[in-house]
Amino acid sequence: MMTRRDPLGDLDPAVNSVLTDAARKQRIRQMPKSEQARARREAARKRIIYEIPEVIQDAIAEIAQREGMSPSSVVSLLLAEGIRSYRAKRASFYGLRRASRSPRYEWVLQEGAVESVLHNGLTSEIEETERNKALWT
Amino acid sequence: MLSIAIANQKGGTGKTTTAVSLAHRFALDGYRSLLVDIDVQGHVAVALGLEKQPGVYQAVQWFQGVGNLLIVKARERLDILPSDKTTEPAKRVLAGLDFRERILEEVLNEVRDRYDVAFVDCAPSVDVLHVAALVAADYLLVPTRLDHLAIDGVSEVIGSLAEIRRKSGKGATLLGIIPTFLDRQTNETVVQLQALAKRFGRLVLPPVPVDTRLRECPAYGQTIWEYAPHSRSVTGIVNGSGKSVGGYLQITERIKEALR
Repeated sequence: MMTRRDPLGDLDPAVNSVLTDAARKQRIRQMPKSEQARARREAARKRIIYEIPEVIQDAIAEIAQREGMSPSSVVSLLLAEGIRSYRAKRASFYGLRRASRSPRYEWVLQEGAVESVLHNGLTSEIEETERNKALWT
Repeated sequence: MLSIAIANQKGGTGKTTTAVSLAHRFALDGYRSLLVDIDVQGHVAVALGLEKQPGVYQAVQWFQGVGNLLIVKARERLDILPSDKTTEPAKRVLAGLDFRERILEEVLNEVRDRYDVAFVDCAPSVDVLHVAALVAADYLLVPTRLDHLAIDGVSEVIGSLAEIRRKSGKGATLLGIIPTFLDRQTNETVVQLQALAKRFGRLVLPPVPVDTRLRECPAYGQTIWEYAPHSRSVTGIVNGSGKSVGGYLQITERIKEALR
């Protein structure tokens, strides 16, 4: 793959992008027919589709407009903060989910879970543990 | 005032389209812009929906101390010094004058206080006005089609610039090369873009995709910003990651960044 470290050296990002795309397409064309379809599917997977409630979509659009950024950038930054909180055990999904009937997932969101987080935030894992302890004592 | 010459000795590379598009974009962004047409075809005026006029001819007379410069208002904050077929005899007159290569420098000096930026749309030839443009301008932009002959034209114009700088001690600085008529379906286009990038690196600016709307807009006397502001020659093409790349909007931003 052509990157900034390639012999072409330091290029304008737009030129680099066009050449990278062309190189990827060229690689796919050179593959056996059976592999071409798989490679195209792989390339298309770079874009991921998630179902997001309307209330969150509206909030993202509002923040993006206020900050003068793309919605994708806003989503990336806010998710990064959420992931950081989750990993630091400052965010748990306590009280927000119920058992799923689908064999695919163990849990699904409770009705109004997203709105609740939007107003009250996520409970920390420590709080959740304290609540669990209280239930058993 | 900053001045930018737009030149390539090869014809049909998108010089006039680039000059008109950039000059109007700068005007729309609040810069007082002047566009000087030194091509005998006078297509700058046509592209802006105006009549061709003997602006260069009058400039040569003004250079000899007769009459005034002919500058025409084209849009809000965008004026042009037009050209027409009389530019051809004007060049013959100019060839016999002393300090002829200084004519455009003198013209730009005369209007320096009235504009923030001036673009000079050169003809696809090496003549006295072409040399004068490279002497007068602060920067040079070279639009090129992505085929072997046009890219050879890039080398030629850069060679001319180097010679001018060596002989006169002044001349434009190469600001960038604009690949035009980018067609991702054609392997030759991509191969030539790669060759251009290998040779000129960061100087290669975002490419302008081939766009029918861009070809149509002069027929209506409109710039691409008026005729099809959301066309791909403005906003670029979507790459594999879903981002827009290339187009005149991105080129304008790159130029502003470079001049900052």
